[in-house]
Amino acid sequence: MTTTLFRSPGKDAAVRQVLVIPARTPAGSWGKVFFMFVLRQVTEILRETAVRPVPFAPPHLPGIARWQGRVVPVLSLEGCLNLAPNEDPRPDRLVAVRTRNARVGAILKSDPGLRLIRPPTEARTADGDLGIPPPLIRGIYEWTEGLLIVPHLENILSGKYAI
Amino acid sequence: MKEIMVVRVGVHPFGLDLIHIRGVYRSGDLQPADSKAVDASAYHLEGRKVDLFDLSRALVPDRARPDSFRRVILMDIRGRSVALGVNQIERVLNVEPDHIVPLPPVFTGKSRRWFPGVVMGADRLIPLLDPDTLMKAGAAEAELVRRLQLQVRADKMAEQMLDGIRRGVAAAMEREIDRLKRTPAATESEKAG
Repeated sequence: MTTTLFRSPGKDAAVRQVLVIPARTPAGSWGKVFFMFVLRQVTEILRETAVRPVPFAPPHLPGIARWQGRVVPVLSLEGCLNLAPNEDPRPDRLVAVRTRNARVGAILKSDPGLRLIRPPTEARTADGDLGIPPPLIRGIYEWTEGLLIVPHLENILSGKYAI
Repeated sequence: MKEIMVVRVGVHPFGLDLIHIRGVYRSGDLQPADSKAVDASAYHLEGRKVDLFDLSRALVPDRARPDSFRRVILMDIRGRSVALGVNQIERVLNVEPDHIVPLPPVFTGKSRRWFPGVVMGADRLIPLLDPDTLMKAGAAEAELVRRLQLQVRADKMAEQMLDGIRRGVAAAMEREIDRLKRTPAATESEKAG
């Protein structure tokens, strides 16, 4: 099935970009796995921030941080989405993101290999089952370099579907 | 304004609503209750019997846990008391109500039960301990300690009984050996007779 990922016929279509973050999980037959965010969800890429651990939290929730006058969770998307972890000694990038309605924010501990790309105008919905609970994603698409996962930030941050 | 006492447990600060705090003491002020009593987990503090709950045992991973707490906070919640062991009392903060915010909802389960709120301090975030959870956890730990101590006592009694049986068996064996030693001699004397 072919699904239109982005439909932006306006004059800014040529310059629209998305942020792609490599997932720190082993590659499968589908290739590597990436998370994708539209740029209006990405507020800032931080060099470092003070993370306050919260006792009893699972490893994919290393703590909370103050960001733009609010208390936001710091999290690893791989853990939140139940993807198998891949040990990576490289330092994290901290990506401040917000939900589409901009009400909730979070800081993602991410792979340093993140980059901006021009989004594919068409992509096939992936058939593979990565074991991700469906409410936590908006879609998984095949891409030239592997799979693109579009996380459902609102549902992830709501805690209703916690793993 | 809310008054929040900031305490250090391990290396991290945590907040306690001052309204529930009755007093702060040194760890040496705690006097163990009668160790022969059934509730030997209880301590005397300020002339009353209280259960002790060492917060570092609950909140700090083993590898980072300090040897012992130095301060004891006596808390009263709905007529019940618990003594909390903490490593350090930092200060009391006057906090505007809007500087206490809920823990982000992605934290669920035990994290949320223990820390429903976070104090946004001037330069740091301080998770706020939930008093009801503390009380329940304190009571649960005290009950666990009581059960363990009762078990230890039962084990000691069983050990004493076993020891008594061992000694009884050993004495019986000695008597039997003596009898057997005497029996051949008697037979010889019978022969002689």
